[in-house]
Amino acid sequence: MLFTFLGIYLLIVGVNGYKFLWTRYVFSNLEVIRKYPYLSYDEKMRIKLHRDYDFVMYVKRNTPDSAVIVMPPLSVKSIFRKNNGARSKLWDEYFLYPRKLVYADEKNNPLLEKGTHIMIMNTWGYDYLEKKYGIKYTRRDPYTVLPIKVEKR
Amino acid sequence: MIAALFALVYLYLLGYAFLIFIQFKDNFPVNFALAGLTGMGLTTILMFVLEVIGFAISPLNMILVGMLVIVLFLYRDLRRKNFSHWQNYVKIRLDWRNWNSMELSIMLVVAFLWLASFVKNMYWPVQAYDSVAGYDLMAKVISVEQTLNVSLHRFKLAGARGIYPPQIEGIFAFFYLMGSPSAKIVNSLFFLSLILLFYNICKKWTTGTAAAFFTLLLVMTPEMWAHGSLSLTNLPAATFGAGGVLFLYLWWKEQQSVHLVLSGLCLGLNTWTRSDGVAFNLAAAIVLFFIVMHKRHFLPWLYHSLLSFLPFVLWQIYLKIAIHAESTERFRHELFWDPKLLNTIFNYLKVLFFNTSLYGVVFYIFIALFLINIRYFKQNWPLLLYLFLSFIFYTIIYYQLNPEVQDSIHTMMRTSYKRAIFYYIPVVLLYSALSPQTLRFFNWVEVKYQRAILGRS
Repeated sequence: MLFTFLGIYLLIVGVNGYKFLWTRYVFSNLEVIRKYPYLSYDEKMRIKLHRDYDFVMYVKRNTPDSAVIVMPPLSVKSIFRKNNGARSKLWDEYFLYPRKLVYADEKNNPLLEKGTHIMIMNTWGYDYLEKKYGIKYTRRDPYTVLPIKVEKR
Repeated sequence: MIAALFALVYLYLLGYAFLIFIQFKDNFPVNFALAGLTGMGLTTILMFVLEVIGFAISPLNMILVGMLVIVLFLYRDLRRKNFSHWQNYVKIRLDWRNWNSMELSIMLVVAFLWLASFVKNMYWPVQAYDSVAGYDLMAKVISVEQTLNVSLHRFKLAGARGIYPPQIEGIFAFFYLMGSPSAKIVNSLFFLSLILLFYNICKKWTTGTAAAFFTLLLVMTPEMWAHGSLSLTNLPAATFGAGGVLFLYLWWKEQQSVHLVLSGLCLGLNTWTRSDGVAFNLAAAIVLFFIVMHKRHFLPWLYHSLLSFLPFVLWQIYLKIAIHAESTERFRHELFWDPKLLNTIFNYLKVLFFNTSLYGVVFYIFIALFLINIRYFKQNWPLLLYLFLSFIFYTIIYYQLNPEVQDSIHTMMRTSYKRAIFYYIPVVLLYSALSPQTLRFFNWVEVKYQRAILGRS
């Protein structure tokens, strides 16, 4: 039995991939779990998804379930991740459902005209509001969500 | 917790009822693994049936239709009041004489690795992008809207993963429907089923130590272990694919038609998980065709092909008619010759297959054992032919991708093909484990070991 374990140990230390698996994946994960066994869902999500998660939760708290949120196009740079983060509407939808999301440059998406809120990222959105709806905000928070108030509605 | 337990009981009851219906019987681990796989597969098929006939996918409907199907599966035994053999499906017979301490110690490491993956899986919530923006998102919405044709499709919020076949999002949705706050256990069950099937089927033709060693290589494959705790489709699809090939091999060796049914079903569920898995089904169909060709008895080939391709065809029809989307839009339909593209693909393949950080030494061992056993290559020719054909067919899929619709070939190879290699790993390891020189080597090791034990005592 001892020789078998020794053989497995040699295989692990001899192959980088296996060494990486045991140290980085297996033991480091078990160590985190042992250290913090009672983290809440939010705390775990914050560890993994960082400020993207905080931002999307902020948007959730500040919009009704029926909201249609206009998002900045993917080309807009921000502190959030492009793919696995708050800049992706599919990623956001996971947390914001049943709210609907649409990029501001999705011209053929009928949701765009029904937008009730706008997601401000890196101050993108203020000019969009002014140009499209004539709404001007004096206070320009770089990251927030704002209602779109159109007189006709 | 209770909701998740209820969902699990439902799945396994359905799976065991199916195994009783097709009169398949093996040892407890194989029965358990197959009950899980078929239970999960049948549950999503029932969801699809409810959807097609116009019923809501509600918890009540799922329970009622599940109970009805279980009764139908068990009808033959219920009518004859023949229940006594049911206990054989769940009876655990631990015969320690079949184990030696080498095998036992390797299997302890395997068990530890699975358990570590399970603990990690249960601890972290869903956070992988493909799951957050795809499978788990779809599952949550399916469970709220109680239909597969969710509103996300209408609002362009389903994305590319929204048109994946319903196996993974469906089974996640089933857990949410039953009231479970998480469906993460599903991938751990797939990982467990893969381990149990591989080890037990491998052990039928090789020594216990060899079976345990190659199972260890399977579990310890870094990328595969990582996927054991991610809510993605790749590991489940590879599990179904591996099940299909393992049972096809079992049928080739033992000629029991029930194995062919299971092979067809597993391969069918493979394309019910990922449509690109059809390349592997095509390879299996050709291998089976060559096997049956000698006997000129094509009926097994026909029903195997029907089982393995029907889910793929049904989902494509459903996509076109109900969701108005086609997964084939992502491919170039005309044949073309692009040596530069081919070169790019093969360069990536070289890097991927022999990257020990991703797949450990699996492919190095396979090539070494293939060369060592070259004069016996006819002995397990169906496995080699399957590997060759599936590699060609699957690579053609990437060659035919439409770069205007899909991500670039570089991204696709780095992210997507990388995970598709899971399909090859169990088959490559099975071939390695069953090759004559491996058998000779492990027999020698076991004899030496026995002598050492006897000498000591």
